Amino acid sequence: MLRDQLIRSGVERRELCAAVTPRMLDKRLELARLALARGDRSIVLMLAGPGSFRQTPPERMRNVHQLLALRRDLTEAVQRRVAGCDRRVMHRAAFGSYRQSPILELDPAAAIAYATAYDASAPDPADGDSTMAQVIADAAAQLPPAAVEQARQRGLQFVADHCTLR
Amino acid sequence: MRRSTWVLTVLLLAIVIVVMLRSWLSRQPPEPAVDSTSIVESAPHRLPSPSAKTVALPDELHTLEDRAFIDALPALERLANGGRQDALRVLFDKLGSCTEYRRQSDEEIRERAQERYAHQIEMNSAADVRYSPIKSALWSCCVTS
Repeated sequence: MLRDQLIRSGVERRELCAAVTPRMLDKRLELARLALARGDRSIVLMLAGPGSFRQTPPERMRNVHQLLALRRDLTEAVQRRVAGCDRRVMHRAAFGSYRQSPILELDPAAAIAYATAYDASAPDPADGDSTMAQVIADAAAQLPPAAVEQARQRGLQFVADHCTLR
Repeated sequence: MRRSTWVLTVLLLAIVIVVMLRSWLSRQPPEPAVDSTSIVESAPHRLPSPSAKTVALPDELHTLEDRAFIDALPALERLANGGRQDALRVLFDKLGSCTEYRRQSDEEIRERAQERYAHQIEMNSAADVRYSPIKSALWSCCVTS
């Protein structure tokens, strides 16, 4: 039966993966940094998004320095992409900075800036994304009004500096 | 027997023993070097390590699955370090999946299998409707209206 086959295949995969050393699994961090250094956009999108790098607390403890270095590299890669007016990265980073990325630092102000930049750089003003409005609203609830306004201005400045507007 | 004969005999025996010992030691296989960078643990009770022979990699590296992926790990790592972006991405993705698989309990495996099974059934039903003119007609006339 198909269901039994799927269960068997799941068990086989688990056994196969048990043969991969923890060192190799930790090596994903190095691979991610290497990919970022080479400017791999798909890795930026993956890491800035949710669920790409789930680690258990012992794994996090073991790799704390690598994780911090990866966070720094990812933040820089996101900023480089945003400076190139990469709207998809803005969108992903808005969610990631707000709460979803296991790598990016939780930063409501950055989330507001990226979400504002995403909306402000839409080719058509009617293309506004309601999820971005939600990110801005949720993140704004965690900041004083002055900080929210400052973050919005930062987002608008991104667009003014880096995007060719319609 | 004279004393000098004894000494010579003992000396000769010692030389023979030393020569035998050296030839025996030279036949011993060298101690395997502990490679801290080895990718796959040798777990003979469970699975063999990736085969030492050169693995032929497909053009589309992302098609490597399961055993083929595990066998290809050393080659993929070499390619990734050598600058092949596709190898790097495949390693990153599939090692991520492996991290998830390793953690799964029997219960989780059953749940995932059930989800995939339900999804498959759903897809097959949709395909049936799409590709059968009669079903399709029935679908458009009676189900969707």
